[in-house]
Amino acid sequence: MATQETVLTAREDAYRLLAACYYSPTSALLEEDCCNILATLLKLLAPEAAEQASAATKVLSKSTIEEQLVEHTRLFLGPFKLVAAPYGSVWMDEHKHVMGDSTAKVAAFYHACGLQLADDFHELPDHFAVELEFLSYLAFKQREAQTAGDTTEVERLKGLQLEFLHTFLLPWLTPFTDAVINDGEAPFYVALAKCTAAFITADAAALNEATGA
Amino acid sequence: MEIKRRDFLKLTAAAGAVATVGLPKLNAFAAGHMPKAGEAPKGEWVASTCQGCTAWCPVEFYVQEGRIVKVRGNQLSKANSGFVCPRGHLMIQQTYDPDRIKVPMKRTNPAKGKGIDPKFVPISWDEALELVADKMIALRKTGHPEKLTYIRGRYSPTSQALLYGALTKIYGTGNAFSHSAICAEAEKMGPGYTQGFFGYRDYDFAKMKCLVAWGCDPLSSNRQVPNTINKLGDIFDRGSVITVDPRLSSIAAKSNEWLPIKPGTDGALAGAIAHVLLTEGLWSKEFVGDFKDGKNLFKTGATVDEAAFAEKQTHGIVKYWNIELKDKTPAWAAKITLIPADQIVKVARTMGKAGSACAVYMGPGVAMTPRGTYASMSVYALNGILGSIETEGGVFQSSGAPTTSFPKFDAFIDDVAKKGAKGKKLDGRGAKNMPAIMGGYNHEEKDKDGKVTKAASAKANVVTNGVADGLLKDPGACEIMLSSWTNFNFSCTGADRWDKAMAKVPFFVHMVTNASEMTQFADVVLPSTFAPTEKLSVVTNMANLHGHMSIQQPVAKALWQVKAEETDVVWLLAEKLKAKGFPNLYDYYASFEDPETKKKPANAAEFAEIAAKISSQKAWNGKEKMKGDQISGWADFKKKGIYNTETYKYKKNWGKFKTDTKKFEFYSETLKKTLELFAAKNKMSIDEVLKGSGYEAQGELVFVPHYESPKRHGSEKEYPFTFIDHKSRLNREGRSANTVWYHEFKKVDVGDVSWDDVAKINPVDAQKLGIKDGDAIRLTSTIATITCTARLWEGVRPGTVAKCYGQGHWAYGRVAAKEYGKKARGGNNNELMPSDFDRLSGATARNGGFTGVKIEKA
Repeated sequence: MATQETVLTAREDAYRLLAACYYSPTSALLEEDCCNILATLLKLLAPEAAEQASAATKVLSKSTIEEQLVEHTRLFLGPFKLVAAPYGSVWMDEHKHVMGDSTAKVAAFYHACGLQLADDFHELPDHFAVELEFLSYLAFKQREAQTAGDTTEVERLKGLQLEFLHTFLLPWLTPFTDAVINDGEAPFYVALAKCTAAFITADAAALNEATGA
Repeated sequence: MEIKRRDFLKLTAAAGAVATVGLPKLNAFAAGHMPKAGEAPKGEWVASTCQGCTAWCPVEFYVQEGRIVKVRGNQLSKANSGFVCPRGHLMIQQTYDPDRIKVPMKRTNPAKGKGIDPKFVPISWDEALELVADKMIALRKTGHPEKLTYIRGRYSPTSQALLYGALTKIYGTGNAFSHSAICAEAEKMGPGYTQGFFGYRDYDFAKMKCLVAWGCDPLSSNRQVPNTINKLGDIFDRGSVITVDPRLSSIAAKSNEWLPIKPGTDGALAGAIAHVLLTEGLWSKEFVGDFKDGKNLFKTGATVDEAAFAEKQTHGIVKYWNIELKDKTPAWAAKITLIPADQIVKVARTMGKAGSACAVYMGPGVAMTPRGTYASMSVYALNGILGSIETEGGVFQSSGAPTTSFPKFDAFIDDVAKKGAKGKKLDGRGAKNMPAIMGGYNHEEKDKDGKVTKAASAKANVVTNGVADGLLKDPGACEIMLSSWTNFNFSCTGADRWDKAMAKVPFFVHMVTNASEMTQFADVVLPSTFAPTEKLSVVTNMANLHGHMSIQQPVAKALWQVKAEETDVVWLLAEKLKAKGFPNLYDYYASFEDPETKKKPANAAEFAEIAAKISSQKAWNGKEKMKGDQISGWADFKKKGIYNTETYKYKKNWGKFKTDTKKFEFYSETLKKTLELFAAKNKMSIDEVLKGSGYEAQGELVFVPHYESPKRHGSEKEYPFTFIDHKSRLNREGRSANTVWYHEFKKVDVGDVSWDDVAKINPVDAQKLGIKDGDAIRLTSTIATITCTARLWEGVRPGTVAKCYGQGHWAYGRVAAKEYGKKARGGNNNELMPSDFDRLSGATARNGGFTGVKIEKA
């Protein structure tokens, strides 16, 4: 039976490694064996997601980073039609463009939590990877509070994570991951999208349960 | 977007005690600060400049929480009185288009062609510029820098000199081409060869008694849309609005008279109106003069003795009458133009009654045709007859703005560059059948002893759409192509030629905001700033009898890794070229000096700011006595965003027009001289030049405005419909079709339908063809077939079909293209229209009914 501490660390790591998978792939992703580690972490958190992470690992081992780079670019970067725009506002806001009302709200949410995007980071606040990194950060803060025995803070942080998930990430999680899955031309990213959807859905459910929400 | 810390990819170490919790592993984030109460950012209006059409409107953006949320005209602007037109609002969606190019990219698929995926991958700016600089250095080492071609679309009128000007010349290529000849260059031939003004005109709407919108819809496009929208209503109170256009445009719908002219016959209508104005004594006695005995001798069919007329500000009115006008009756024109003779007479009388307060507002529809120079001259000459040149309610030359040029770069041009610059240009200008003499001639130059040092010569203007032909004819002539704000594979007629030509360019660098059809052929893609909201530069223009200089600046933090091609990118490229042994370009840029601090630029950002300060300094440095607005300094200029010049003085150029005679030339001595120089250089007669270039006129007719019959590709039997291309009020230099609002509001183009691309067909024709409203149809010309939707509409004559330009993208973003690389949304007019030219100007034909089409159910 995993300790609460282990689960917290695994969540923190899983969100972070998942975020890393949505960056343009580099050899570091392979060298650090990120997908494989993610699969291991997810066994603990969401077995269905773990299977997809394992599938992704297998695809990755049989392809080159260059091939994945072309696919990642086509899916998430362009320069033509983005198969799956990795920006929340494109899915959530009326006008379907970036820097929408929801983008401003997500940036304000980070700000309220004491974070802002780094000056040398040139992506948008509601980029999928950024939102995952933020959840990793909140999981870290939860672990920190837990370690310090600050149960009030732990509950506050759980609430924050739920609020963030429900307000900013879950509304576009399924259409975003479906766009990659339905495209169907990039097996690594299809597996990753399935893994992502399964993990976050399971994690949100677990958080709901834990907070009695 | 990159992972900067390897740690981000590693597992968290086993935790336990507080001390081992460690720090969060962050990549995107930096620790911020906890917000204080009341810290929510306030919104503010930030000045900049729209470049969605050629009005270049000074505007303001409302920026809230770092985001642009609203647009309006600059409240201090005298050109637009604080308003923008509908297209201005699209700037928000253009800035925030998720399909924008976000980072530099390189092609990984070496195969090039339509439908071939370039397989782009992201690279860093450093890597991208290394690639470009390596190619440029290698080419220079071959001694053939002229094999670098630069093509520009839209640009800043000031900082263009850093790329189009300095970079190409210091590197050593004369193959720098502007888009201008696919825009409206032939339109300049009218005012150019009559008045000596080869430029776009301004209008005194505030005092106008009669506006004749001819071949354009100034409510939708053509250089001062907000000003026209703002002032049109009052013209009706003072008089009339008349529109000459083969389709019911926005302004036609509001006009007192709409003349749905048969495409390409504008010269005939203008001739008949001139005939009426002269025979009925309605010409301006003040501007043109009068018969010496006061008796009007302009009688239909009668030749007039030139000596009987005393001209004032004009030259050759009687010659014009004798050579062209005397037989050009309304009845004659009615047969050609399909406008009833009595309507021609009525309109001419209305115009004559308004006299010098009647402005003929001519647009490219008149002139961008295979023989458009003469239609342009004929229509513009009406302003001369009415005497509405620089009068209350009349037509004006453009007002300038007091910009300062950048330092000269002659000293930075080495021998390789000098030799390269002399190389033959790819666009075919100046060939025997492509005079391209837009601009007149260069006067001979003499030294102080009066000895001729440089003979007079005809000017040679750019033939933009000829570049594709040049590339296909001699593919080895271009090794490297740089291009900015362009999509010639979509925006040039005979678009398929560009697909073939670009596939042959070995190394193509595209600097744009959005990837498009042309980007399909790129080897390196560089993400450009969206100029109105992200670029720092100074833009000049005029309207409403004022010139202005306005700031263009980043109004919020620029997105992703975009850079301004005319400042940031050229600086960074110059640094690379210097590091690889060619320092000249860098040395030139680095020699710039901040006009305030005298500091020299040390990086791209400083260079961009110093360039903008140099351009605009006279407006704010306090050293010049400015007759317009008073600006207290650079910061004040950036905040206000605009310097307005003083009001244009009426009759400013009377007696000093830049023609051979200094008069308004109905008989163009300037054109005659220019053609003499061109013919002599090519050892031809003027008649041979005209014939070889496809014109009908011979002899003295060549030198006066006159009617030339429309040229048509495709027989009327096989291609029975005449195609009418027109522009959208939502087109933004070809860059708005990927915005949702463009499609949602498409119905603002009269006759068009939101979320569709329609061809407007007269219901009478549709019934004969068995086509219903909303049917999918095929339009076929001599060169291509496009598909779109039928729209039954009485706003076009039977026998014609009108379609708005702007849709039919097959390689663009999520909205513009139906399915990237595979399926276009609608059809591109430029695939349908063949490449042809008004060869005297070098301008591309896109109007005047030169394309015949057949219509079939799809």
